[in-house]
Amino acid sequence: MIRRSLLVFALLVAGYALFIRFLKPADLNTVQHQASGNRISAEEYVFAPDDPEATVIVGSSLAFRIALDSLPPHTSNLSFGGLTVYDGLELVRRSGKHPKRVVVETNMIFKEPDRAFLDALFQPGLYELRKAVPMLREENQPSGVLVGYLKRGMKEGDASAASQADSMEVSENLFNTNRAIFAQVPPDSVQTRYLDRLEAEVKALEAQGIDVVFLEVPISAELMASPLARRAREAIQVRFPHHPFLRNEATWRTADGLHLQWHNAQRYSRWLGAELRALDQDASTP
Amino acid sequence: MLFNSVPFLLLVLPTFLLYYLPFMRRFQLQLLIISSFIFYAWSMPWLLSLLVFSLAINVASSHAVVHGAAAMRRTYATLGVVANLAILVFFKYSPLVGRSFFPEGSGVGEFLISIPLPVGISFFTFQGISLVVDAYRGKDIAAYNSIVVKGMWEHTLRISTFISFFAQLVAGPVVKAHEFLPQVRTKYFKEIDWHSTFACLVTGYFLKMVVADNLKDQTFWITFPYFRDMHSITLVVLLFGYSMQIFADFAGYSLIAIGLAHGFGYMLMANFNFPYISTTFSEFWRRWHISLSSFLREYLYIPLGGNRKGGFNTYRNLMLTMVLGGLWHGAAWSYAVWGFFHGLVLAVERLVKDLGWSVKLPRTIHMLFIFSMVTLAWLLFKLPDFDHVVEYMRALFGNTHITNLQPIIIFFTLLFSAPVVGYHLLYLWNQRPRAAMAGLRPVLYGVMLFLILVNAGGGASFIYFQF
Repeated sequence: MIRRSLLVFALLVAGYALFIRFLKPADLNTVQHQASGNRISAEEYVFAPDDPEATVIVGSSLAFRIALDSLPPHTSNLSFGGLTVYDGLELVRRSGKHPKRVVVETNMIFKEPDRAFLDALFQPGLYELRKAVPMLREENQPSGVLVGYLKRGMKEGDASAASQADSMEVSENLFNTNRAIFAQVPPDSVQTRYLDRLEAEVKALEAQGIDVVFLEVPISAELMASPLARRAREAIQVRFPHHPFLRNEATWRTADGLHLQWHNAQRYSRWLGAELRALDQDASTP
Repeated sequence: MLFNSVPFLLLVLPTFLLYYLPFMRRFQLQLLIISSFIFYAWSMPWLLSLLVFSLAINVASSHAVVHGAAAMRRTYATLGVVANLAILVFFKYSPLVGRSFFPEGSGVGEFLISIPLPVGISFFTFQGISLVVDAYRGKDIAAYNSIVVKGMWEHTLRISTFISFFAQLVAGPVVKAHEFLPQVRTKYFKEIDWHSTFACLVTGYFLKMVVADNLKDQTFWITFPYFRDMHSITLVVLLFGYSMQIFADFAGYSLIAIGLAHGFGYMLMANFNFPYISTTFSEFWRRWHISLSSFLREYLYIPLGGNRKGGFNTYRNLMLTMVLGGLWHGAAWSYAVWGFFHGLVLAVERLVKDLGWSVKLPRTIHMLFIFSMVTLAWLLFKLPDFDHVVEYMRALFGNTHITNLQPIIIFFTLLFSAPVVGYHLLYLWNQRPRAAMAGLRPVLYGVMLFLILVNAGGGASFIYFQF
């Protein structure tokens, strides 16, 4: 039985490797859930060749909604739902890559990173295996590929937009939770610990010649004025007074006080794209 | 160290190869103990001192019970059991006592809350209790005679292997001394049951890495406050998925443990026997976490009096056993409520049986009823805050108006639950022998191996590690 099981296994592996290599569409959306989306973005970044022209956005689920097609070419978004800016910064560092610029979201700087995410990504042995064998990467999981075809069949884009709009009516619960969270400011000692860490990460990037830009993703007007948001903003302005800090104070519609609604995220991405292009122009002006 | 991690593979493979080398046969126990200590100390080396302390207590007390002064045997046995319970209570329940009985900010309360929970403590202290009690009972029962040998060094090696063997150290099965220690002898490579080892390991890793770890990313949404905005149907599916996840996670772990133990020449008892086909609560507890249920029956329920005095005493013993069994799972009152619930339904079931009442319904209806009740009770595991449990139930019945049904979550939850459902259905179907199954097995194992390689979920520790 064992020999025959191993034979079946070998046939399946060979067949699936051929499918991934020759038949799977490159643009198939195989994201299964938030953690899977995070993992796919992270693997795409670390397994791609180093790009000295790259701009990398690091942040939380707030910046995750930024649409890359509105941004300048060579831009990657390493903003992860459920994770923090520190996870993205550490990912850039551990990947050994040297992008031109890193854009750091500032909304959630007082939040603990998730070590398990990066430890799983860089697990010795498996990391090298996934780098060498694309079939083993998250984006090629059979269940993700299956749902990718299903989404394609159901024209997922429209459904997604509709569900974003629908979710507004029932997000009052989350808005209330977020309101309570943003009313609390962590003690000074905790703030200092996070800011020291952020400063160390920024200095490490700059030591490699990488530009650092800060970005406050717009949230609801009420939460923008909350104690936590104000404190994070002031802390960045005091700690990093000479760094560009991109902010847009227009009024935006959110699903839950924090996350931009679909169309607003598109509009905001266009604004951010223009800002990043302006920074490029400033840098190239003698 | 997790069974599904590269470091574990790098530990277990050399251990296995060395273990069966002819010149290492004399040192098989020492090798298992060293590997088990590395396994246990991998993430937090200081924990090893606690394990060694616990081992010392159990080695000394069990030896004293059998070979010490006859008049003192009961005292030694009592001291051994009390010491094991004291370790368990101190490390496991101090935070609960700190949170429940001391005001916020009080020094004693803060100290109690800060005491960390060492992984596997619930399991190895229970095995220690089993050792001391079995050694004490050995005066009367011939089958227990091989438990405690006279030579102190050999006794220490045997007991250290029994308690610290990495296959069952951190999450069971809860092995009893009288089941394990008689198996301690020199092991030979030719004696390995490869088919059973292979079957247990492949099924176990599949249940853990493909089913449970993928379901975990869906059942994450049973988290406050996210579930409040989900449709009732989504909440039902998520709860169903959690029921599948907790089975796949723990049954998977148990099968890996059993498969590993087979590889090293030891037979551990089956821990799960298709529990979701149960038609009564008592049958469920004969099929779910069998090693714990039988431990509680043997070392708690029967010593309390079991059903010997009948009537009220039986119901009281059932309730007490299940509440304590609930608290064994975790230091939170929700676990006690979970145990109380199971104690209550077992007592009611017993009462109905005693009164001679019976409900004539198709077996499937009984099965679905028991499964639904058990699944509802798992909510107390997922949401240790009782208020959140109540809120989830409110949303479960009240969120029928929400338009956003989250089809992707429903799809993946059902997709990854399907193997567990199939696993149980296959068992029901296979109760009548079918020749087709023999031919199908290699295909099933081949597919499971393939999915372990390409479709494993995000690595996560086992749910039962927290207990």
